[in-house]
Amino acid sequence: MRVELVVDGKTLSLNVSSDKPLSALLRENVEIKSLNSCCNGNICGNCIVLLDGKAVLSCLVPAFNVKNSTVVTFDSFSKTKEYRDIESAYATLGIEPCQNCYASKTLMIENILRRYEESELENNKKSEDDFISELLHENALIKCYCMDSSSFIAVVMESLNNRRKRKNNVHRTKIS
Amino acid sequence: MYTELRSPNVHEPKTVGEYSDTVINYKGNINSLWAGGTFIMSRKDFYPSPTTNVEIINLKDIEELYRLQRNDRYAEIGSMVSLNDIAQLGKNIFPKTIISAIEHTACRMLRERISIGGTLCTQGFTSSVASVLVLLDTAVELIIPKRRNYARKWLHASRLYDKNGRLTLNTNYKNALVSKLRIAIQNFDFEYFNTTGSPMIEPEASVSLATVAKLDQNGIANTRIIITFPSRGFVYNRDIDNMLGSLQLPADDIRCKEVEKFILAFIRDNIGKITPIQEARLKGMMNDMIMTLNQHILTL
Repeated sequence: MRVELVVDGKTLSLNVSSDKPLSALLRENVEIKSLNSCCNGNICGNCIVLLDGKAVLSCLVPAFNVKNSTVVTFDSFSKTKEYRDIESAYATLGIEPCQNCYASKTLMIENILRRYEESELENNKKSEDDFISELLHENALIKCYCMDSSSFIAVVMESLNNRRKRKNNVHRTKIS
Repeated sequence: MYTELRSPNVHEPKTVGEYSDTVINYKGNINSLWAGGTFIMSRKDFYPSPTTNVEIINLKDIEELYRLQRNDRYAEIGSMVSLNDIAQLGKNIFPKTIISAIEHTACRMLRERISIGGTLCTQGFTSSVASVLVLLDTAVELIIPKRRNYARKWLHASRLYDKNGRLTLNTNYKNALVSKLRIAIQNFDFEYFNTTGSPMIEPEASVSLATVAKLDQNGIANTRIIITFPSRGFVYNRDIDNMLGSLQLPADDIRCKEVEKFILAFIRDNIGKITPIQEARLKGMMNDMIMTLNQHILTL
């Protein structure tokens, strides 16, 4: 089956088995280095990518469902300004995920930040308790115990502050 | 890698009519209806597999399956609507039991990809959302493909399953597609939902329990209770409902133990032996449910 998709800004046309998981496709056909999942759909959480702007477990998405989609992996995300917000939160708090889950956790945090910003824009902001329980649920998705729940919440909050500051600065420079 | 394996044909119908035509043309060869795909992809033998998924029908493009409608009495939900959308849109209208069943199914990232139709119609796996839908008397609309046409039929969600909660959709209605669900907007005085273990990762250890009831001054009325064992099915029976309904509340420990014993014996007789961890978890949940019910009655 021919699948056309954009991976990390490159338009690709691949001839792959239609039921091949996206994680296998990215590893074998596109040679993405940051994906280190080996669970074959057992939901280990280490294969997160952004599919059309939303985080997904790439082992649960078949090739035929990614036709004409945009995939962003950690390889290209780590070169963006958005990544700096999360990276500096890691540095400020002195908490960093292990090598194994660094990419997935960072993309998951990015997804949470995007969702939070969206809900703020729509004036549909959740209560803090709801937000934190959602974070705890998400943190449990990645089966790695390098970072405990409270550290994860702290990193998300710090990243959120960093992003707000950056956006406010951009806004101010535009006005001036 | 795996180049000798045949790539499955993927059919992408745009309308229900096209779906019906595809199913009729391929007779019995289609063995995978693709909704969200979360469960199918998480099976160990999914890829590479020489036997499974010869023909796949991807339901992604059928617009009718994404519709959401509501009036004062019920909400109609297309079968491809994601669990996350239902949890968000229905938070203020649906019974709390269904919302907490959805929220306990998986984290938000996964919920965005799990469809409600897939949750109901997964062979060999019963989710707590499906059993709660049965508990709440949800109606489902089936599309039954026929030569040159198709028929629509509404039936109660419990009729998709046998008495032990195993899916029988494919034996009773071959190639039928669940297109809509009708969930009644109703209030209960007492609602309880609890689940332990991850149903997707450890189905043999996970168990969930949901109860709804109306309360009056004499005690509880219209009690309904459903217990889900993801790999075996669910237990939903009038005898258990009546046993719980006849409880004199607040119930003491001795009565709790009696109810517990009755339900466990019923489970053993009907769906067979459950694992010790499921039994221990179920006992804990039932105890917790009766304690919550006691508290509820005492605050009336």
